[in-house]
Amino acid sequence: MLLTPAYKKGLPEKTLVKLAKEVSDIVPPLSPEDNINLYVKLPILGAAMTSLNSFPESNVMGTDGVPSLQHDCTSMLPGLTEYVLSNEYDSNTRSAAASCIYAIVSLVGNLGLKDCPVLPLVKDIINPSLLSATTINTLTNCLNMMALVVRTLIVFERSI
Amino acid sequence: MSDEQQPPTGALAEVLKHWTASCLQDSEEPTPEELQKDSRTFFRYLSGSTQILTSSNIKLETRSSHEEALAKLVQDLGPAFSAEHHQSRLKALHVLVGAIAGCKDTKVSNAITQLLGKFLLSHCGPIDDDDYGEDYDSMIRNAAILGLTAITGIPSSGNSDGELLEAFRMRLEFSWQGIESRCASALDDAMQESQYSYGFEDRNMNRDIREGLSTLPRSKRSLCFGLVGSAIKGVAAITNNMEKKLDESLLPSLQSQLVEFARLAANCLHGESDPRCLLELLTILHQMQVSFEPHFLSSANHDLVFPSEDIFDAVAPYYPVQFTPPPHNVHGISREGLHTALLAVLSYTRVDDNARAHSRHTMLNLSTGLFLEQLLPVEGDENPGPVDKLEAVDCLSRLLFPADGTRLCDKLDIPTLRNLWTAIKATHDESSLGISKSGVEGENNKLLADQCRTLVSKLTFQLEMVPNKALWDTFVSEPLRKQITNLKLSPSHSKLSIAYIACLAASGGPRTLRFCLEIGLKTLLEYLSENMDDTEDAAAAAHGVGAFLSSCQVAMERAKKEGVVLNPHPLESYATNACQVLLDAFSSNTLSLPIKVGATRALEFLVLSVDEEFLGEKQVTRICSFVKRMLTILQESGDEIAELQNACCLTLGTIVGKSLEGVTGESLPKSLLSSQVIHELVKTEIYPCLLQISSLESQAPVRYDRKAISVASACSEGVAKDIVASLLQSLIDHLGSTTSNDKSCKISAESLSYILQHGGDVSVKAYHESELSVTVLDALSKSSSINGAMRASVAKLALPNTTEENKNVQAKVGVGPAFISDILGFDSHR
Repeated sequence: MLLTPAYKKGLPEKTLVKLAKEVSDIVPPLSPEDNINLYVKLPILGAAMTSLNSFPESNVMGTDGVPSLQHDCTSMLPGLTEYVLSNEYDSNTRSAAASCIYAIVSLVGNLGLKDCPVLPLVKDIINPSLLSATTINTLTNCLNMMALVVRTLIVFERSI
Repeated sequence: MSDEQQPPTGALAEVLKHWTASCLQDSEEPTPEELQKDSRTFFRYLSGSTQILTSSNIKLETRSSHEEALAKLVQDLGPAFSAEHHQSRLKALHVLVGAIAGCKDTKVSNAITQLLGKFLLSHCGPIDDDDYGEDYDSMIRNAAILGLTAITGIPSSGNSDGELLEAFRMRLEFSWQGIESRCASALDDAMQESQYSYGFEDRNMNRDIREGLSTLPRSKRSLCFGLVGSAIKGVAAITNNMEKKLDESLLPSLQSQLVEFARLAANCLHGESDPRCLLELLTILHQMQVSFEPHFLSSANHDLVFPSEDIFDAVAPYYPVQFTPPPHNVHGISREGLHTALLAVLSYTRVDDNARAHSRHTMLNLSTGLFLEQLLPVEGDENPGPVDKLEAVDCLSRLLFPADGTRLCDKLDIPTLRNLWTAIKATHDESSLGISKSGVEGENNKLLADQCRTLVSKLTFQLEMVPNKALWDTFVSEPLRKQITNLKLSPSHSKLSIAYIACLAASGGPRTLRFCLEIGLKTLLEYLSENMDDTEDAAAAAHGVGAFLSSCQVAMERAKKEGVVLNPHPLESYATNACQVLLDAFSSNTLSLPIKVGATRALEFLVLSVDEEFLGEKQVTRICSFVKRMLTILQESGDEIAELQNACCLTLGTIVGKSLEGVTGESLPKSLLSSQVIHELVKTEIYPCLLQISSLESQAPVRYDRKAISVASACSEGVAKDIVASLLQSLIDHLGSTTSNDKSCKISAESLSYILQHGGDVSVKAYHESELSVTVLDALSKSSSINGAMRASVAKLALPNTTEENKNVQAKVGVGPAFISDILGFDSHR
């Protein structure tokens, strides 16, 4: 473990907000530069998010009245899911993306919101991918993702 | 006042007439409870005063008319009270109970208290209800008890000393007489509910119990205890309302009554086995202690002292609490609740001064002895486990150090202090040996050893401050002098004592510190000087010296923070000898590692706590050599010196960190680190060298050099900032350099990573506060942006590169994809 230990504790809130914004802007990646950026920043974001117990109090509000960190994290979930299921990208970075998904859903669950952000992912992204999988590799990825999603559902419901 | 607000003339008479009729009619409705509720509501209204504005605009306020109404009620309900049918009597009693309850927020005169008390007492005795299907005997007597409970809880309206004394007397007497009457001929109720007392194990209890109470079922006992509690509340209410203290001449009479009542109340506890009643009684006894205390500030003779001994005798058999709640614990009684209630009684010491003045036993000494029996049981008794002993130590702490900050240690007698020391020391030694056990038992033993040291330190600190020096001598110097013999013979067999004495030195106060250094540090230094050989005892002595030097450092820092200057310096007479002995041990070529390890760690504390003015120039030079030698040892290899390397990295890291932090600041005592020679050595030679070697590649299985830097970094924010910034800059330089390769970048990143993981929160904080942390991420993200071909290559990181592609990447970017994945720290299991 090299630099990620620095992001597991003591991360200033503004750094986290900036990091989440940068990642949400480039998920899914549309260019090689975006891909390189994700390759660097997703593991860090994953380490930071999994170490949180709740969204930090942020006085930076988004346009819809929702704090921007929560908005950015929630909005990047579909892109992260597609990223994880795609075979184009590095497996380590995709694992980091999966950690981010798990952490974000847990944090959203702690807010006590009734709308689970995972259900649209299952319906619109994972399920279709599963049905259209043609290789063992793709099928395995989809099933792994489904298993992760089921775990996040349990966490979400327990939090509510 | 308008006509609508004033009750109509004759309303009371009408209401009483209605109630009398309801009581006398041969019908279930209205029920006694409904009648009680009605009367309570009515009398609550009556209890308030009435304001009248006369035609001449003069405001008049009447006294409340509740007393006259109560008397009238008893009179008018006479036919119901004396009716043949018990149902009428029961209903009438409930009306009276409700009426009295409605007056609870006001005061009553002694006359009405006397009238109602006697009247209700007459209904507390046995009743013949053989011809009835229902248990009217219980119902009527219970209602009478409830009535007495209500009247005794209302404060008196009397003002004169005579009236107040009478008010006290009536409440206490009615309470006790009520219980006596209730218990009379209660054999028909024998054991009906007592068999349902649950969860309480049999105990060997005091058999002096009141026969009647013991045969009453639980619910009825509880009513009786409620009466006791109410009388106590009544006494408290009268006391709180007193404008001045009772005349001195009347105090003995009051004290005599209170003492007798307290004894009787304590007697109620004997034989009580139902946890609900037990909890109720313990709470009542504690309320009694609090309520009666204002009247026992002084006593004319020892018979008029508050009977703490009787209360102790009643509650002590219940310690420690042994209670397991049943599976369906609907009443919510817990062991913790019982324990808390018990401890409240056992730790109430506010009336002890009066007892002490009359040579009576105090609750402080009695309870201390009780708790000590848990730590050091009498021969033949089972030795409690660490959990039980933890509870006993906790009880002692709460007793001796109450939350209000009262100092009680100087109130302990000499024999109790001796027992206290013996018990705590024995418990400490036993639990220290038990730390090695696995699992929860080992953890509990560790906690117990820590708690023992904390308790004895607090006691010692307090005893230092009391005028009576004999107490400190008894608790500290006498027992510790006896420990020296073992210390001189075999330090390795006295490790527990060394730890114990060192703990006292750290937290016991200045006098204790000097004393412990004299008997501990001096003894061990003498032993080392005379026995500098390769033995376990010598190694233990070296470690022991370190423990005392560390304790001294802690004590001095604490004293400094409290604004206390210790003059002369506690180590002044030991510094030179300690320095010489320890340096000789460290630099010896014949001694084995354990002694060197002990000497190394001890030298750290010596450097941090001794000023250079106590050492000669030659010794300061030797210290400099010692520091340099430690740096060399860190760079050596070999499993056999691992322990010494570990000691060196801790010591060197601390010296570097504290030196760079600027130990000469006002908040910390002066030390050798403020020496210009040593400071310059660390700043210009040791630190830069340590930083450099920690960034080099090494085949050593453990990087002690990096560990030393982490220790230094954890010392302060300033040092952490400097170290983290240096390592970040080094990493950035490697990333941007065309001559660096993957390996050098990786080593640089590993060094930084080690500091982040082991350098404490200050290191992580320093990382995030540094702008260079953002530069590192940018450098990684954009490392391929300089070359279009490399962008494509790096973008395809999911696919395994060919060997040729890897070589191209490394040649053109200077950083390969494998390195990027390493630097960001992917787990191998992903």
